[in-house]
Amino acid sequence: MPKRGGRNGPSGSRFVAFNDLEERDERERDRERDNPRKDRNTRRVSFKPSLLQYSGGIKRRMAEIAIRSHLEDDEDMGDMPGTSRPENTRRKGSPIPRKKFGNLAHLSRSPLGWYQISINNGQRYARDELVSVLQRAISPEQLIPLYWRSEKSFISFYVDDHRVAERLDGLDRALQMPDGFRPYLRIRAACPQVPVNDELRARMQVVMAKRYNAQTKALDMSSFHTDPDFKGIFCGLFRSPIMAAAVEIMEKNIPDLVALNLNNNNISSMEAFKNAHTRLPNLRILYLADNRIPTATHLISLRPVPLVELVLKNNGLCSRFKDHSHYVREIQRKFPKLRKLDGEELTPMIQFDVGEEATALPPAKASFLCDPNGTDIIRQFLEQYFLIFDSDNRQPLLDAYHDQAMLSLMVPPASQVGRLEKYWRYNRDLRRQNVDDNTKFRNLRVGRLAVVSMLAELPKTKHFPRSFTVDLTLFTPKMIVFTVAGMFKEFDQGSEELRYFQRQYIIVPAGSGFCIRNEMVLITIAMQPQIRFFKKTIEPSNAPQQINHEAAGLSNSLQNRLSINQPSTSTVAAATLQPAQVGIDESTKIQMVQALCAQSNMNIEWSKKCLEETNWDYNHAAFVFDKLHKENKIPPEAFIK
Amino acid sequence: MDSVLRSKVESCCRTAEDFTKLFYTSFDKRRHHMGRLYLDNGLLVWNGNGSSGKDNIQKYLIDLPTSEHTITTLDAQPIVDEAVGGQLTYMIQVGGTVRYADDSARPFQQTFIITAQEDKWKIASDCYRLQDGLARAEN
Repeated sequence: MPKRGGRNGPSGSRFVAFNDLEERDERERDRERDNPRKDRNTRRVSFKPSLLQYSGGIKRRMAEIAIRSHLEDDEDMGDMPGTSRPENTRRKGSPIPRKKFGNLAHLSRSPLGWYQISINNGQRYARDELVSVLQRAISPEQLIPLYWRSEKSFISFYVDDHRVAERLDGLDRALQMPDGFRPYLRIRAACPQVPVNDELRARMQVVMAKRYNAQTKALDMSSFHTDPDFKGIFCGLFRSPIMAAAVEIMEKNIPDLVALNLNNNNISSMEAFKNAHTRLPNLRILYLADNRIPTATHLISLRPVPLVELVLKNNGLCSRFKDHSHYVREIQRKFPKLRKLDGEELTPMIQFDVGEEATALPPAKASFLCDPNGTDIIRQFLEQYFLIFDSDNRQPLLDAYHDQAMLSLMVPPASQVGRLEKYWRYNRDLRRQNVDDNTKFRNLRVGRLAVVSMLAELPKTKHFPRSFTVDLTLFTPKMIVFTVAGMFKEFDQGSEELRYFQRQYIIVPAGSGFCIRNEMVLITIAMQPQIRFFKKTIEPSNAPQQINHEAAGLSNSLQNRLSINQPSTSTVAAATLQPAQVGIDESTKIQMVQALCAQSNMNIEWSKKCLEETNWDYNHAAFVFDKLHKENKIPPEAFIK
Repeated sequence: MDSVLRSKVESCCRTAEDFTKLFYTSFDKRRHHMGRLYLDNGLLVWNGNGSSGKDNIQKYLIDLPTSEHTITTLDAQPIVDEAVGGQLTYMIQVGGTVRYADDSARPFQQTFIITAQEDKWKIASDCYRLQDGLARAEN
């Protein structure tokens, strides 16, 4: 490199200030290697901080925020660390000396508690060798080097203990390797780049669970990275991917979260809270004190969240307002529901009366029955129908359908839910693109044989009545219309999938029972909230049930679903589905007998007798048993097994 | 399928197409006119909440947050039974996504029974379900 006169004087010369921007000569570089704690400013690109009077419009500012949070995320990825520590923000050419005043050996305390140590040419030694030399030098402190990285010309690692960092800093050049080399340690306050992996997520989840108060639905994540449970692992929420992982954990495990404390986490971006109003719909209180949020614009992703309490003190944004009342006014304008800012009660903002925007939907209910007389019929219908539908043989359903019954099935388009392969060829979606006109005739099954043969071809299933919604919308002596929806498991060659269905039935009287005149089926994938609900509520309540309890289980959960009382008269039996009773196959009968055995404590012979006498209506059999048992009319031998 | 049934199916499918277009446009933009789409004693069950009679139904619908429906799937069948007599009656099933107020889009499913009263189609029963409605309510 050509040397340029006047620029290569000793670093104490009056030209030293220029060195920041000039390529330095060999001597200088040598000097820097010897004493890297000074002249470390290398050329770097920086953006001017956005000013309040920024003229580029909100879009540009948002783009800038996005880029900035991206860049902040990528910092430290260069091959030589050390370009972005806070102390380095010293203005170019500043008269303030580069070195800190006072005791050079004193290492300033890292606000995050983490320090990076790098050793030039350290890569020439084995890790164990280096560590043991260092350990000996700082004994009795215990050196635990974390996130070790070996590069072409240096090694680096991190420690999360201030005392260890201080001891290492104090070593100066006292270290000596067995071959005589005196390594020089650079120590700075810095945080490692941590990949967000399952291990980190699991650790975060444990710490978050510990810090969650289920009573108040409040999660305290203040100074999160300093939690003792993060010993040896870095978890700074100011890194966007880590914050995003935290929000994900909240959404999955505590979606009813109301209050969140993020004080003192060095946060500058709230990007991870995009869509927080739907992901954490109950979030109302947010503490963000002692962070680094630079402008109020950075809160934009939080605006749809109807916050009632917010703490923002000690953030860069606070000083960007003319005065305190301006600050309060602007924040309140962004969060009109706010009642408390930085602990101070606010006078409610007067708004235009556009009607209390009805944003809350009425809560969903499990069932609606337009006529309570329909309850038993539908309950029994569903019990019998799905008992057979979930069995190995769907043929007995032949008796449940009208001679001229119609059935069709549809699945949402592949673009929306993926291709539901098992149902695709039966799909009669009239909105489906690129199908010939004939599909609407071909995929409408007419006649009980066509109907049941199609049902028999569908994958094996298990339905979960606990997940059902049942709406009875028409109940006349001649016709009953109802819609049932819920979750089922689809089994196929050892694999299983959770699915959601909605079926509308039209049933008409036939003989002494009813049969299905029309049926429409919609099948789709289960959504995330449904899967969570299933795992949390349905699966656990289902698991302890023995297989021979299934009939009873089905009946109990349906009863809860329809919120009705036990039938009080035996005339109910007349209303049951006559055809389906006739068609119950042997394996179903065995299941019913076993279930009744378990429930009544009667032996198999008497359970079977009881079911035969009630024409294989399980509920009626159970009812009759209860009645007779109370009246002491069941002989003792019925209970001898 | 014989030709009589075939033509019934054909006109049922066509009516279902027209009906859904009208219904969801009304739902999203003209709720104050929706009462007249229902029979005088028609029934709406919205996520398990029932309203009967066209006036109550209209009021119930108006009180819901603003909506934006997108229909992706549609199926329809004619009801051919002495129960409905000679009155043309169809059953319809719809699937799609909906955004309420500022909420994100969620799947919903809906079933209808519509019937011809004089020269007008009217809804006899309407059952609306947000797919994750119950899971959200019980979680």
